[in-house]
Amino acid sequence: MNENNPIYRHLHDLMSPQEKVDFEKKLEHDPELKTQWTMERTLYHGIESFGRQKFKEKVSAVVQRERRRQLLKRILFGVGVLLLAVAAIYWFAKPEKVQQRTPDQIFAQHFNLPVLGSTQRNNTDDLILEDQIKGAYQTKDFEKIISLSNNLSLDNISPEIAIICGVASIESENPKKGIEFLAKVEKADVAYYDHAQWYTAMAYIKSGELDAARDIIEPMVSDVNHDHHMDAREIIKFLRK
Amino acid sequence: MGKHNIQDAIIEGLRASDDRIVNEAISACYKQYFSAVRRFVLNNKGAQRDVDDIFQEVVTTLYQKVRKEREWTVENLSNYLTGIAKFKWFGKIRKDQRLPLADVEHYEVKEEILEDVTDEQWELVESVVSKLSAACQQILTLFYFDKMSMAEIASKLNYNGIDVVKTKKYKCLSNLKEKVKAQWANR
Repeated sequence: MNENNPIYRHLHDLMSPQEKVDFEKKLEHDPELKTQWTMERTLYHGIESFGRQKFKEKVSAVVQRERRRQLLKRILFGVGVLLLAVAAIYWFAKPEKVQQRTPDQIFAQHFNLPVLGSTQRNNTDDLILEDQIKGAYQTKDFEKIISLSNNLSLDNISPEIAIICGVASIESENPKKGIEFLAKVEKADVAYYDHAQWYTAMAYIKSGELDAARDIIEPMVSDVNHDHHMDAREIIKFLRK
Repeated sequence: MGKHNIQDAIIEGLRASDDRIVNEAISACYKQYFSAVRRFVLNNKGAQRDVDDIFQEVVTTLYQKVRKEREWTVENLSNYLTGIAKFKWFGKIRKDQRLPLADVEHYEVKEEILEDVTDEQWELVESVVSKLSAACQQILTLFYFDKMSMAEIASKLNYNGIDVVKTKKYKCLSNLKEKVKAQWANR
C-alpha cells in the first residue's frame, strides 16, 4: 500500500479534515472498503503493538543494566569505604614496628650526656675534688673523672657527682661501675633521681642486660611526669619482647 | 545540566536513529523519572513489580509520542510522565475492576481504543508478526512503530537506497497480510 492510498493516509493521519470526513462517510456506506480498512488497521496496530512490546523489552534491559551499574557503584563505594576504614584502623591501631637493634645501637641512639644544675655543698671534705670533677665533666674528660672518682668516698657522694661519675663510667666502657655510682642517688634527691634511673637503664643496655633495663624503663613509660618519660616511650619498643 | 536541558536531551535522544543514543536517553529517563513513577505507583496500592511494568509503559508511550510528532515538546517532562503513569496505572486497576471508569477518565493522556478490533484479531496479528523473518520484523516495526522514514531505514539497515526498502517493506507487508488472512479464514 503506497502513501497515496486513502486507507494508508487515513490510518497515518495524513488527510486534511475535510478529506477525513469524506473518507469516513464513504467507509460507512462501503462494506468492502470497511473490511479492507479494518484489515489494514488491524495489521497496522498489530505491528505497532509488536514494536511496542519489543521496545518495552528494550526499556527493561536498559533499566536492568542501569541497576546493575548502580549496584556495582554502591559495591565499589562500599568496598572503598571498607578499605579506608581498614586502613584507618590499621593506621591507628597497628603495632609499632619494632626494629631489631643491638644493645650498642640502642645505646648509641638514645644516650646523651645529662645537663645538670649546679649544687653547692658546705662542710664537705670533697668540695675541691667535686669542683675538679665538675670541671672535667664540662670538658668531657671522662678518664679524668674516673681517675678523680677513685679518691671519693662513695658513702658521702652528692647526687650530682654520682650521676657525673656514673655517666663517665658508662662512657669509659664500665657500665657496672656506672650502676654503682648511680645507685647512690636516692629517691629523696628529687632533681636527680629521674636522671639516675634513666642512666642506670642505659648502663644496663650498654652491658647487654636488657631485661634489667626494661624493668626500670617500664614504670617510666607509665609515669607521665618522669623527666625521661618521652625517652622511655621511645626506647621501650626496642626492649619489649 | 539544567532540568530543561536534560528533558530536551531525552526527547532528542529518543528521536535518534542510533540505538546507542536511544538507550542513553532511556537510561537518563530512568535516572531522572523512575523514582517519581515508583512513588506514585507505590502510593496508589501498587506493588514493586507493578512499578517496572508501568515505567516501561511510560517510556514506551513517550517514545511513540516523540517519534510520531517530530516537533512535539513539553514544558515539564516530569509532570507529563507522571500523567502517563497515572493513566496507565489507573487503567490497569480499572482492568482489574478495582476502580470505576470515571476516575481514569479524569487524566488527560488517553489512548485510542480500537473497539472494532477484537482481542483475538489483535493476538493473531501479533503472533503472525512474531513469526516473520527478523529482517521483516525490523523493517515493519521501524516503519510502523518507530516511525522512521524510508531514507532513515535504508541508512540504519545499510540498504542501497529507499527503493530497496520500499520493495522489502511491500513484500513483508504482503506476506503478513496473506498469513493473517489465511489464519483469519481458518477460524
